Amino acid sequence: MDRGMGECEAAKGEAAVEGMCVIWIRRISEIFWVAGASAVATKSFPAEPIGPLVSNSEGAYIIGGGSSGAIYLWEVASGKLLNKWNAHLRAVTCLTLSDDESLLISGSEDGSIRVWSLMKMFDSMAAAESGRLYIYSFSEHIFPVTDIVSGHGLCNSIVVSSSMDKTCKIWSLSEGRILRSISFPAIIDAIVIDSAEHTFYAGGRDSKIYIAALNVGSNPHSSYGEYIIGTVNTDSKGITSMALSVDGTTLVFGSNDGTVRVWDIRRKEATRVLKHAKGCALGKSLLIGPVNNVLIVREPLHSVPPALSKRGSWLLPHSLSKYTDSTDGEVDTKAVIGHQRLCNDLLDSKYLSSQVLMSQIKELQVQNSSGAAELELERIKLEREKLTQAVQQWKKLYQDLQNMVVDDLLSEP
Amino acid sequence: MAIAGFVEGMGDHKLKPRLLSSLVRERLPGGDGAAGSRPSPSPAELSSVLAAVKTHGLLAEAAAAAATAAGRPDPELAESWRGAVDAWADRVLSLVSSNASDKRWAGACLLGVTVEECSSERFVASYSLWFQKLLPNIQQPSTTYFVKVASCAALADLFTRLANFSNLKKDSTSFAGKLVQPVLQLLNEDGPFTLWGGAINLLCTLMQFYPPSVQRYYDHVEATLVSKIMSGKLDTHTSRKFAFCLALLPKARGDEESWSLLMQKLLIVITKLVDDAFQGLEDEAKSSEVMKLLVPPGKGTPPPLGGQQNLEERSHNATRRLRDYTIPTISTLIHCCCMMLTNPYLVQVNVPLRPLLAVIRRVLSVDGSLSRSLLPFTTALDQELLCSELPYLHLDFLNLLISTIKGVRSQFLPHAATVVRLLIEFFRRAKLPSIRIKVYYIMQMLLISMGIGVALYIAEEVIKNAFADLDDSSKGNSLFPSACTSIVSEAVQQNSSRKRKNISRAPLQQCNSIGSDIAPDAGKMVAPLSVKIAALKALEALLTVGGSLDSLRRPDVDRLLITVATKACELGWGYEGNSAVIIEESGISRADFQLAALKALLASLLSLGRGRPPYLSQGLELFRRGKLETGTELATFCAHALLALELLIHPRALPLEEPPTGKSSMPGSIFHASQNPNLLSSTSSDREAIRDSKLYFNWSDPDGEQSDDDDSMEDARPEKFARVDVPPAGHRIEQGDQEKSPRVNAEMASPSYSKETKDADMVESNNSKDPSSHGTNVLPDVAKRVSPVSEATTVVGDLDIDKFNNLRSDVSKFDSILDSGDFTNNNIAGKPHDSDNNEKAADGAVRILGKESKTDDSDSDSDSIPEIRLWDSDSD
Repeated sequence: MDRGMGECEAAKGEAAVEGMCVIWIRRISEIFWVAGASAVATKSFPAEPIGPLVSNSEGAYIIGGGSSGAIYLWEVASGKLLNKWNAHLRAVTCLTLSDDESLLISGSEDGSIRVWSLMKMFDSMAAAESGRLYIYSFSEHIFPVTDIVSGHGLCNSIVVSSSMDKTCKIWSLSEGRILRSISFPAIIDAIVIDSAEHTFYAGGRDSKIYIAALNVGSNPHSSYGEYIIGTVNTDSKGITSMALSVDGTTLVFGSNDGTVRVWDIRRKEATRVLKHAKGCALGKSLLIGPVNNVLIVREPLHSVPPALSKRGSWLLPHSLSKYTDSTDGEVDTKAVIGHQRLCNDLLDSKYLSSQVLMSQIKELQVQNSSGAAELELERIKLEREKLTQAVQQWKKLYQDLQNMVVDDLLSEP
Repeated sequence: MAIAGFVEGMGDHKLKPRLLSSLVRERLPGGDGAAGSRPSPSPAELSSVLAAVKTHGLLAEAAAAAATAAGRPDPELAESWRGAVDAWADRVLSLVSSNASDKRWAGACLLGVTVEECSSERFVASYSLWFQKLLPNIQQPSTTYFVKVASCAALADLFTRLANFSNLKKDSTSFAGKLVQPVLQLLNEDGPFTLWGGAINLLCTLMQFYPPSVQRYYDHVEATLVSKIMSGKLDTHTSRKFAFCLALLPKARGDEESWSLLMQKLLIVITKLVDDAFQGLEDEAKSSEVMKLLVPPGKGTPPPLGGQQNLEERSHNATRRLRDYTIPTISTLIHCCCMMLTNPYLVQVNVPLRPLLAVIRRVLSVDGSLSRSLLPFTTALDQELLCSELPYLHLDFLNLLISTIKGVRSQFLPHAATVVRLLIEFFRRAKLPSIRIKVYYIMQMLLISMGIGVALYIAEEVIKNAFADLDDSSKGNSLFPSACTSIVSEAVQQNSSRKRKNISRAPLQQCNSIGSDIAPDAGKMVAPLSVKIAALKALEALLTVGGSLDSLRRPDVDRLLITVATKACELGWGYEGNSAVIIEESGISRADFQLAALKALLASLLSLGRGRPPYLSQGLELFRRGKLETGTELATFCAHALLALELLIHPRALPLEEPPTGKSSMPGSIFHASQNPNLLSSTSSDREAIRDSKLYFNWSDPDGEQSDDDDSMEDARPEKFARVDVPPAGHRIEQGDQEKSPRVNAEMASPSYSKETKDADMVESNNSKDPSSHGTNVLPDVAKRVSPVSEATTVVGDLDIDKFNNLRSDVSKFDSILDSGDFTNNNIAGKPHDSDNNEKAADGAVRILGKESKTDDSDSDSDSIPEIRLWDSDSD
């Protein structure tokens, strides 16, 4: 795999597959991310070539593994390099986060797999106390680790790793030990776990997809090998990366020949082959190289097109910085709020009147409350006014009457 | 105009116009006009009118007119209904502008209800008229405040409804603009709190839906709100409203700057007030440190909050000032910060995380104790004053911490470790129930949001404290302390929201003891129910996210939880909502406690530990009994728990782990723990732990290699056989020579279970025809168990030659890859290194083998406890 530093060779293409969007990127040489489909990507120049990249699901952090074995942790909001630590002796080949996103699992060319608590990486005191930074270090793989995936589970998740030693190993994250080792006929470069963890799919360098069982006992007489319950031949040239749809029926994998294939698992056949058209991205003609990552991205529920949002709130993210700036011991982070949640005041709005009415009625019924007294006072005032008016009228009437009578009497001789 | 004749029944829409007309005729007060002679209704009459309108939907003409019984519009009905609503609206409007206050009040209220209930067409047609009629009610200073409050509410409803019509945006914004000034005037008037509350509600509505209308008065609004808050005259409820309104204010401008500026100003004022409170009791350097973070050197100080310098310098005497002014004001301002942090904002804003945490840390680290250096500057009275107020201050700042974490979510990560350390330190000193509850809550929240990473840090502390709070076995059956104790302490918790003006403050127990160094031995007093509930919730969260951590002391925790749940339930089920008056006031009943205990118990049963949940059957029994309490929340939860546990009894997946084999040892160590009748005894926990883990290995063994010692185990887990794609002949499953054991466990034999069991039996009997296999495969299994390394070695070289050869070829392939320079980095080159590796691996394998056999030995010791054989002998 070519990891040149100089210029950007990432290419991005999109194709709609049954409501999903498949984006494939070849040759990550520099870190790239895209805010919205049409926005310009921000380019960053980290200190060394970065191999694997992973971010947490809220998109607050990006974690990358360097070719020197160091792991970098950037904050997306500010682009700051929050932390960097030397994780492995040789290049980091794969990174993944545990289900609860508190543990980072890294695999390396030296065959070791290490589990890190992200929280601990920011705790200088703990590091000083225990002396080592990682929680577990697995060294059962003897050759470079090619892929790691983490299973479901809050405290009992498993991790499946593949290596050039032609095995996949399953680890318990809570106990920090190996649970099972599965040998394959070929080197496995990519794994995905079915979300229900019945099986996992391993994409081999021999262009076969092996289906290995997680939930059954071993079957040493299986024609494929222990725990392997089936294989599928694909006519690609070695499988380099895989992704599984949420419903577990569609498998997308990229291969060395630069194609991305969409596979229907139940029918066991390819439904679509996506080939990279020349010059479709960035206006460059590209060599056909291996596909090095595939992702299935679900269409967001509330997609806000960046062009429509006002006030320029969709600023491009900052470039990632090269070095940590630790001027004073504590990292100064830039946390943001308000961005990810839509303001839906309208849905939460409540009408007040009836509530106010009821509380006021209650207050009125309470004897001696000032409000009730005031209201009563007002009422009495008004009544007095009315009565005064009435008295005036009566007075006037009597006056008139009297005048009339007097006039009558006087005028009568 | 009602049609003579009968309606089809209660649901007939024809009924509604008639009802409405009769309401207007008979029950509404008349306006000032001809019908003015009718007296005003009693308030109770008005509430029944309201109920009638709301229950029958009398004003919702359009919606119903379209939905007549036959599904087609009925012009006659629509006409009569429109007429009735017209009459209603006319009457209400005439009431609104009546001379008599009580009529105006009734009119304003009813108009508010009309705004909410009427059809869209009618609303669009008449909202401007309604607005014009309501406006004078809040403008005339002479109106009684009852009318003003009702009018404010009606106007707020009007604008809330108006916000749904985007086509009326322009009009409504201009209306809103007219309203801001009168509302501010209302706020500046002297009036009762309810009047201000009403005006604030209206102002909040305007800010939420029509920010441009408030924008012009931005500074004015800020000044008004701040001056009210800082006056220190408000009661808690109203000041909360003001704080909320202030928090919304930046929305009027809607940019990042105003949010950040307000936040900065708030934090500065809070810091100054805290300075005031801590005077003489804290090193002054701390304050300037915080200030440096708030106002970075080189940047100008922002203008003071609310425009003018309004730190009150009134002639409070020092004693009263702290209690009546400083602490409540801090509380209000913090509430405002919390609202700002947790409410969504239009644009992305930066949270000043570092200053926030610095402010919080500063306050939480003050415990009222005196350092020697400060001794000359203070008096015993000062200290006493501060200590009496400190708990409230701590609670407020804990709230601020909670909101901060809620606001920034996963971005809290870089600071999590330091905050957790601070909290742990704080927790050790916290003695007051209300504070303990808060800290438990924060820990629970952190656990849920940050998962196992944080569990590694706080597991120990949570467990230690939970034990102190929950485990009162030493004090006899005192789970429910005498009413008096719990009431006093819960009153403290309740009264953390101090209603200074109206309600006298509850006594603070242990007034000065926050800073003292009493160990949490809980020997003195039983924790109140509310603290126990908080502890249970924290434990539940801990078990949820990190149940299999070593540091969790599972056997102890599990035992504690079953004990607590059993004790909570054995005194009979609490009744929800009708306990004694005082308890009800505190909001916490025994039923809540039982629910919390059962929830934690469920987590303990479900959370995968190193063994089978030891108290499964007791737990099931509790849930079954709880489910019988028909109609309570408890019963609902128990049903849910039984559903969740069903999966534990009928597992659908096999454990991933390879069978740990080489059990030379004792038979039948099964299920004893769950059968253990002596569950409350606290002895032999270690041994139990060992047994549990052993148990798990036995239990989880998918292949039955352990032969005859595990036969009944095989019965317990038949699914795996059912799931294996038909094992071929000569398969390694070799329980052939096992006798059939009867069902091991009562629960296991439940009917729903039987189908799979039958399958399993079939598999077993198939296998039983193969007597040869038993015992021959022990060695391969050992090899398999350590396969990751042993495959590369010759330690167990007599097996699996093929595999080994495979691997050899792999190695050479890899070498060739290395040699061909495919790797950019060449510093591990070729064979020497690899063989080195292999040797190392081999070493590892040997070591592991040795270790395993050792543990097996020790295990077998503990396994040979006689009682364990109980089941085998039974089954025979």
